[in-house]
Amino acid sequence: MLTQEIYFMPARRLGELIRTGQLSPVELTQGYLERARTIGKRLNAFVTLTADLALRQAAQAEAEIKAGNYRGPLHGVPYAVKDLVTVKGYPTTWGAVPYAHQSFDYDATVIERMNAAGAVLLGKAAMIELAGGLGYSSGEASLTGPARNPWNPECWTCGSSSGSGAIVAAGLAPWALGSDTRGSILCPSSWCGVSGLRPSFGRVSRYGSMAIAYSMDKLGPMARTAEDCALVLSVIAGHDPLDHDSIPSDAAPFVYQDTEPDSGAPLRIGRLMNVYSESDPEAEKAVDQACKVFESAGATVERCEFPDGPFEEAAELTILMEAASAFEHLIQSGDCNTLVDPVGRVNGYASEQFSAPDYLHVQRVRPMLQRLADGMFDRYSVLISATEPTAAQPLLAKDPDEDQATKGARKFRMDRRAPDGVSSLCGLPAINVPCGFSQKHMPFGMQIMGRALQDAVVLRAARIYQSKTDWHLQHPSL
Amino acid sequence: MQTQATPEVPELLSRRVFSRHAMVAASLGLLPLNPIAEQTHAAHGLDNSSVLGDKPEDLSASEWEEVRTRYANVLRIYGARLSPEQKQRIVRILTENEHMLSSIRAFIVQNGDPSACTLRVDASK
Repeated sequence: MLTQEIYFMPARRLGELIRTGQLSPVELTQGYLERARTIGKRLNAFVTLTADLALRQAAQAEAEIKAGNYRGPLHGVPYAVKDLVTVKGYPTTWGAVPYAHQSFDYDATVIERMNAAGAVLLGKAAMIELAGGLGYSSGEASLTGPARNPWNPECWTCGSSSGSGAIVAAGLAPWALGSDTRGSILCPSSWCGVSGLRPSFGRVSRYGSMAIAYSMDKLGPMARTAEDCALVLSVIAGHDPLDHDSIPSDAAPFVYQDTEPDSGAPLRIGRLMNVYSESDPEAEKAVDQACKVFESAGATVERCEFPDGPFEEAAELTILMEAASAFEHLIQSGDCNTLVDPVGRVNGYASEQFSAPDYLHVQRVRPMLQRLADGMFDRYSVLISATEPTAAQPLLAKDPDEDQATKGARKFRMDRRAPDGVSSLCGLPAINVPCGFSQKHMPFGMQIMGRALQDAVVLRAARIYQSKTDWHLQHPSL
Repeated sequence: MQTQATPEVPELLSRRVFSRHAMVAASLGLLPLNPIAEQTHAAHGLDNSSVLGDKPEDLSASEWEEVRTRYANVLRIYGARLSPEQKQRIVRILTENEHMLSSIRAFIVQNGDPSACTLRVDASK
């Protein structure tokens, strides 16, 4: 029987134990599946377990490695995938009632790449319905019910990669694939206390994945460590002619070795000071402490401010407008009324009212905002801030905006420079790394954001930080 | 840790200051309401005392008129499907969308400003 600590080991370490014959991938897979059926069920972490596939892949990996046919560091290592990624022969529900029985007869490109690497797919991770593509107002908005935070099941995981966050935090898999259109990897990584990378736009093929916003959707890993994120990215990154927005092969390829902590010049880090109108002082303090860690590692750190601009508005509008097209049939057929969330049921009707000039105006402002953001990286290697202004919130907490709106007292407000909005809109790579705990012992996360296509710089900064701290190695008692 | 002031906004953007557009938005607010839209509202029985409520203070008259027009269009297409609560929610969503559009429209774009919607010609097979 495996010890609990095995289940919380990074993928890199598990891969080493498997390669050297100290750990059986079959035994490891069986252990993870058992945890998924028990702990995972309590957390609403999975939609579907692919147990037969997983055990078949694990047995194959074990046999291949014994025969000397080692494929690489993920060979025999289990993982989970958000249920918006197609896996041949299994349901792909998009987390939503109207698609509860949907399946496809092909594998998404990322699944093909993981298959080639010899990885073991445990199951499909729960998610917010349609990844929030038609909006949502609470963590309840999911086909499988609310995903519960392993650090405190009365708190939410954040979304939309809610199951992926719960799975990694609870030791139900060493890593899981998430998707991020505007913060859907970063927020659950922050609230669940895991490392989550949202790669540069176009870095990872989305072929075979549900679309929300064609110009903003990204896939990326959520894992125990930044090193694991780099490892997974090295497998799933690369041009795919089946994805219209895939980065060409000759454009700044991702090189894993460039993420090594001692692989480049000292980092110049900008600590963003003006991105939230309100935030938990303890979360800010955790990031300030992280600055000291970076300085002790030889980096220079400066406080700085992000230039003003409607980043968040442009991100939200782009998503609303593109989602109205992506889910056109669902809206026009009226099937959107079967969604769980009251916002998701009607939001598409409002989004259909945007005009073509509205959309084009946003898309013509967008390059200006991209240049504004890019200008920050003339001075800094990376920018850091709290990933979210607070730690995880209670699952049943009502959206305060909803109450105010009902009373007619709502004033429009938006953190227009929120870092996940900025990086999402501009297609910039960003990672969340755990950086401390709240007084209620819920994780705080720090976002490290880099210039477009400089995923390796972001990962290197994260690896430097994690080489000096152990926040990422702490896990909840389950 | 050193402190660095906000980097200067690139020259390209300096001509697109928000104050300039604020003037444009303010003048738009003086324009008369769209008579065609008024007829549409009447046809659907809409007035400020029903679901729409009063104009939010932070929207101009023309922006509120756009909300009203778009709401009327939602009712024209989907009204039969919607409960009173859903209609109220749609008004709130349209109002919020209008706020976001207002922020974006504060950036004046010129004819030659490129769009993020581009066609990438691909000669590969």
